[in-house]
Amino acid sequence: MLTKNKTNLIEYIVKIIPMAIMMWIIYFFTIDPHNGLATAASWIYGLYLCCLYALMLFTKRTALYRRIFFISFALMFFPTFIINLIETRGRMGLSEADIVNTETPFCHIVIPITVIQAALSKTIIFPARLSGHYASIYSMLTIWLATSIVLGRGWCSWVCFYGGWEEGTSRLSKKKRLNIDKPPEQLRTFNYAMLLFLVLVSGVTVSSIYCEWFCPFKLVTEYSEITDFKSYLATIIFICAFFGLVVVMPFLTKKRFQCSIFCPFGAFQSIVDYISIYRVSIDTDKCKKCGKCISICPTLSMTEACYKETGHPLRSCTKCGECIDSCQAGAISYDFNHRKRARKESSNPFMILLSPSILLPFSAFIFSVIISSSFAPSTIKLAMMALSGGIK
Amino acid sequence: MFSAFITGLSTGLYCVTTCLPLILPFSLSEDRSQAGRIRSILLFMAGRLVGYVTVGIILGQLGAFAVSYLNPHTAIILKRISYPVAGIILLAAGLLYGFPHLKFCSVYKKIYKPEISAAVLGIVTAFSLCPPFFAAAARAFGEQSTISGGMYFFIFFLGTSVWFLPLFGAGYLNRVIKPLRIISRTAMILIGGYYLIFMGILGSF
Amino acid sequence: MKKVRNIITVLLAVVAAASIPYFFINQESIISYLQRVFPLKVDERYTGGDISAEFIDPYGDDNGDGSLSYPAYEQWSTEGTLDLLKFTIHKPVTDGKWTSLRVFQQLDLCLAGFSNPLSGAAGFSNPVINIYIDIDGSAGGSTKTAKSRAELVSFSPLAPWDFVVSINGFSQKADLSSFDGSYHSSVMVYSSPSENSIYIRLPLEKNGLLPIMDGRKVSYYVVVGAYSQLAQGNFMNIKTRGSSRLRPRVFDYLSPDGVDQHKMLSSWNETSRSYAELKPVTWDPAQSESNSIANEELEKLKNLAEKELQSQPSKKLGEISQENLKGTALLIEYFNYSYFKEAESEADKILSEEPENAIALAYKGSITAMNGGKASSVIDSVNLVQKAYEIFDKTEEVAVTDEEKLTLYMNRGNVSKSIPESVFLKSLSGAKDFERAAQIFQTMDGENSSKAASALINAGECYIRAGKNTAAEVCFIKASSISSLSAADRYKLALRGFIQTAPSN
Ligand code: SF4
Repeated sequence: MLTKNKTNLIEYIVKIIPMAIMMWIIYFFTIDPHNGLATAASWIYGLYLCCLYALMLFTKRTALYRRIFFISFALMFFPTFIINLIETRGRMGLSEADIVNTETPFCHIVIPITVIQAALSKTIIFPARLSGHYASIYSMLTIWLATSIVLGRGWCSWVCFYGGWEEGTSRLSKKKRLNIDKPPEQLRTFNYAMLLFLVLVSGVTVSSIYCEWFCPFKLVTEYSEITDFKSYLATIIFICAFFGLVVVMPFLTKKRFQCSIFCPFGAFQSIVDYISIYRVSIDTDKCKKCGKCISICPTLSMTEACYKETGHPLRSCTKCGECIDSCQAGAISYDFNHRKRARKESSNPFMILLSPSILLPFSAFIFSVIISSSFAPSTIKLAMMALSGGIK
Repeated sequence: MFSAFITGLSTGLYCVTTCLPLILPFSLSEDRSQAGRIRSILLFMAGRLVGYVTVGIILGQLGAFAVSYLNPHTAIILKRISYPVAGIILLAAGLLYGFPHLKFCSVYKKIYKPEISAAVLGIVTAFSLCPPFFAAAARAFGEQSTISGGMYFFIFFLGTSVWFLPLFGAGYLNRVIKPLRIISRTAMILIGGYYLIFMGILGSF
Repeated sequence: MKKVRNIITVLLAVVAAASIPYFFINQESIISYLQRVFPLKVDERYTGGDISAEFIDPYGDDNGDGSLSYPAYEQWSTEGTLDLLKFTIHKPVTDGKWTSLRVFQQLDLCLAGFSNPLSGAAGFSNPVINIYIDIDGSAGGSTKTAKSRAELVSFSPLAPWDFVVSINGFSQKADLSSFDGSYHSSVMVYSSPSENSIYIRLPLEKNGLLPIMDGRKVSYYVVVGAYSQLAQGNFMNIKTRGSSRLRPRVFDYLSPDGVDQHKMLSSWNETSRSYAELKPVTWDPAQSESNSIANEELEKLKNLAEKELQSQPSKKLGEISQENLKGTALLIEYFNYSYFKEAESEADKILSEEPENAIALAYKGSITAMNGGKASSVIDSVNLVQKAYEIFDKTEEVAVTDEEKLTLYMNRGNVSKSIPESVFLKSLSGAKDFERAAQIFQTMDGENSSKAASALINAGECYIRAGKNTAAEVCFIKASSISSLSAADRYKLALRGFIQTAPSN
């Protein structure tokens, strides 16, 4: 038998393997070898990602560093996105001419709304490019499919470029001013109702009514031009939705309020989660039933029944890892989906590479790296330009 | 006549999508027994039948068959009438099921009859006709009399009804997925609100 | 049993993790595969309805009766802004989405050139386009133009027009009116400069165009003039010495099949003082769009293309060295006969003596990229391709003469066209390169026009890869109006439906 210290050492050494692979991936997808400033920016971002992954891997505080990444990604996403819009069409607003030209970027939240119609009638009820654009219908659909197979609802903690907003606002205050840890069933299932509502009604109106009226993220992406009373009203709804659902409620409740209660895509991913590879497991024997995970879980996915009976959080779990980090008893861990009971950690240090607690953050972070690197470096470049301009 | 059935069969999927938001949450959210549920679906269908035949006769009277197309503006007006009505019914039913302890609901409960609601919903859906379907009907049927217009729509109704058969499985779904009842009640309120406010009131701007 | 399942799960997870990067690298091929097996389209309620008919007008006929030329001002320097290439008719939409017009019919106009020097609100400023619509055959309507003494044409008495819409780039709303002035409505005008297209949406209303819902035949006269705010009906009067006062002010006109535009536009009669009389194109909604070519013709073209391919000469290495070529000529010879190793060493040799030789640099770039294609690891190939583009960038700085530029454009274009789009996103710049090359070819003497055509076809294919279908079509239409096409190009165009017949001899 190896001593504890030795095992730890070997573990450290073994962990260099995923670290090296990750560095290669970051180098490959992030570094832009072309011209001066962009290259510098991409190196900065690449190093930042490397550091985050290293910390995630060696300190085992996955959730913390994931959170840092996630918030910074959301913040870095929108400047580049908006500038891209302004470059391609001259403004941030969406005009009728852009719709005729199918210039609307395809966002993942409309996937559940459009995908059923697409399967039945092969038409997409959204005026976006089919292919040949970073946010085209096919490219978003393939990314979604790949992510869903690997991560399921993990999308919402590792890939979504909106979620970071709430992750950020929900961490702003120390105190929980409004406690919804144990919400009424109507509230907990509200996003499923949203999904049902949107899918059914969008089938009738043949348009994504979510984008027409209810999207909370228009404020940080694009809005349609105000031309009449309806668009005026819609804009008011968008602004209220953003501040209400994404800023105020997360601030008060310390939960990702919009994500867990409103977002139809989240609900859809919870359903899709059945086919994903990973999920979170709770060792019901180890568990001290302190209930800390219930209060920490940002998506209302923990209930008492979870650690007393089922041994899993609800399907709405986004695999963020917060509960794993915070569990004093070490009873919660990443696990493979559809496995009966939490498995004992293998004593062989080499085997840890094949354990879900390494594999999940590894796979998920690859998605994070690749998807974020098409936006984040150019935002860093912008910031650098602004800074150097400021110094001048 | 046979062509009407075929048209019904082929556009039936479209009709189901139009009707689903009304009838699916409605039948999912009911507490009642399997028999009661089936009864309301049947009543819903009967409502549709009545609606279709009426629409057929009215349009025949208006001479829409003669010009062989349905004025899309008429179709829009028909929809505008039917949406808020459906919205109100759903909203009321949703609130009643979802928040039975509310004062308003306890009053309302006395006059509420799910059967009648289902039938009215059925009638209302018939009014949201799609012009392309009408064009097919008109072409197949041509310049004949009002009565045969009604007949055509009757046969058409039979064709579409095939697509509604899966609805009877709603009770089963409900049993398998536990929270479905709560979800569909909330959804019913949302749908009702949307139909009433966004499609009904704002739709007329 | 349980163990086996566990092993499978772990294996699955590892494979999944490993394949994520490969998924992103090959995303484009996955997408193009998906597009084939599961084709999707955007719902027509957004895009203006399914296409019902397309009318193609030749490229380069923007000279009216053959004698008109563009005004000499700088604002008119963009070529082809008055050259109509395609007129598309959509099926009526009865429930428009995300648009202020619910019930409409969309018409698209695709022009050879697009520019907006005067900042027109609708996105273009040179053309004024009048579309005259006849919905009831020979019954009712007018044969005169909407504004008298504007276009200086008259219309066939067999199809007198009932409605007219006049479009210019200075207003996003055009006016649709009936011939007797009893009906007026406004038409939405949109444009897409990147697709060279103008889209208009005609409202279908009672007393207006609503009757077309019943599927009747409709005739259209489309006339394009030079916009002038002051001119009668906005059709600029281009004066040239000695020309008739009856000469139409129409630069391009959508002529029906078998009708010669020049002849039709010069058919005015000096003695009876009557204007040139135009014939309309007719849209029959019952007939589905048939832009495709007959199978036997296609077969013929295919055979010709294959014959051409076989007759292409090939040379042995020895033959080339016997030719006594030197420097870039030798390099080009090696490259053209696919002796890339030799070509590379020749290029290196030239570059070591003359590091700024643009031609050698351009070929060096191509060869570097090719080596990238052969490289064993993905990362190497990406690096090599990126290096190739650095070489091309350098070439661009030193290329001065037309020949040097041409070499650069063709080499870079070919590389851009052959590397995976999702990784490098180069298709658009490739298309631009090929277009520039085609332009240079066209300014050169006669023989090069077939090269111009193939450059245009390449540009079109690049545009398709970049998802810009209309821009691609513009290239194909331009190419198909070049007379001296190679057999292979003719076949390519025929496959896409831009050429209908095989050459007779
Ligand atoms: S259950 Fe745990 S891992 Fe899942 S969302 Fe909640 S805190 Fe995150």
